[in-house]
Amino acid sequence: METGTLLHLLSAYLFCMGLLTLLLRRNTIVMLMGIELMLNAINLSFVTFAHELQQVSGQLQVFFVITIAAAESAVGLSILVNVYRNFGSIKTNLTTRMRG
Amino acid sequence: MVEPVLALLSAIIVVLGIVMTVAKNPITSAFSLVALMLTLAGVYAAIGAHFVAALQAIVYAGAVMVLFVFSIMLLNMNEEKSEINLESWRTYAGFWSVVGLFLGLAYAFFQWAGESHGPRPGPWSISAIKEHGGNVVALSGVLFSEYYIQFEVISLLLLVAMAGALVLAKRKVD
Repeated sequence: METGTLLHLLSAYLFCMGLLTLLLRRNTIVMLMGIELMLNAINLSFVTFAHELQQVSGQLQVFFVITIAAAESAVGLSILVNVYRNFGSIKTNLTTRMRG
Repeated sequence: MVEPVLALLSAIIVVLGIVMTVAKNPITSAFSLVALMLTLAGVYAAIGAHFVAALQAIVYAGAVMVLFVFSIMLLNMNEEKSEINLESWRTYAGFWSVVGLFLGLAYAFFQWAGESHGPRPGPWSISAIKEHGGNVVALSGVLFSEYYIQFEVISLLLLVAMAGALVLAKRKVD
């Protein structure tokens, strides 16, 4: 197996683990970690394609993705702090006021 | 052929991914994610993406995960049983659809690896980057010429996110 194929498979695996975390867990912080893991998988895919195709644009996209992920986690976690203040829990099966 | 160090780092990442998904305690998940991100930084360094490796270690493992661990501490959660409900059919439906997604992605990547008439490689081979003065020099040249508008927009986005997080997390005083 070549290096590129191994890293592509690894990025697919990381994306799937992130998605699985998002689907199976009820704890919102762990779900946010799953989203971070999916973003990491995309970064790995970008870097691997940049390595295979001998480009640097892929690595620059990673720079932008990391910035957006940092902004997303800052906003997401402050929303979580508010949810905890209002509901006393951050489990998705307990915070159901908008379900109707 | 795959270098042994890459194979070793990949094996560590696979194990840490499973630990992160099934761990009962959110702190266990958070620390395995930190370790996973540091290992991923090692992978980036091993294939020559030094700038991305440094960014991964500093921003992800340093800043973002500190934020996560801090909020776990702030929200004071303690778990006694696993959250994954093994009796619901939804768990199995989710699991098998994700397995299907993985198999589809793996198929696509093997097709890509077997394809000989793909896009032509660009100018930045590893030796070209080395001649240019290293990974960071090559990246910064492209970043501040081709991508400078995106760079400005992303700084604006960071400012907005900072203001938004401040407003959201502020305790209401009345």
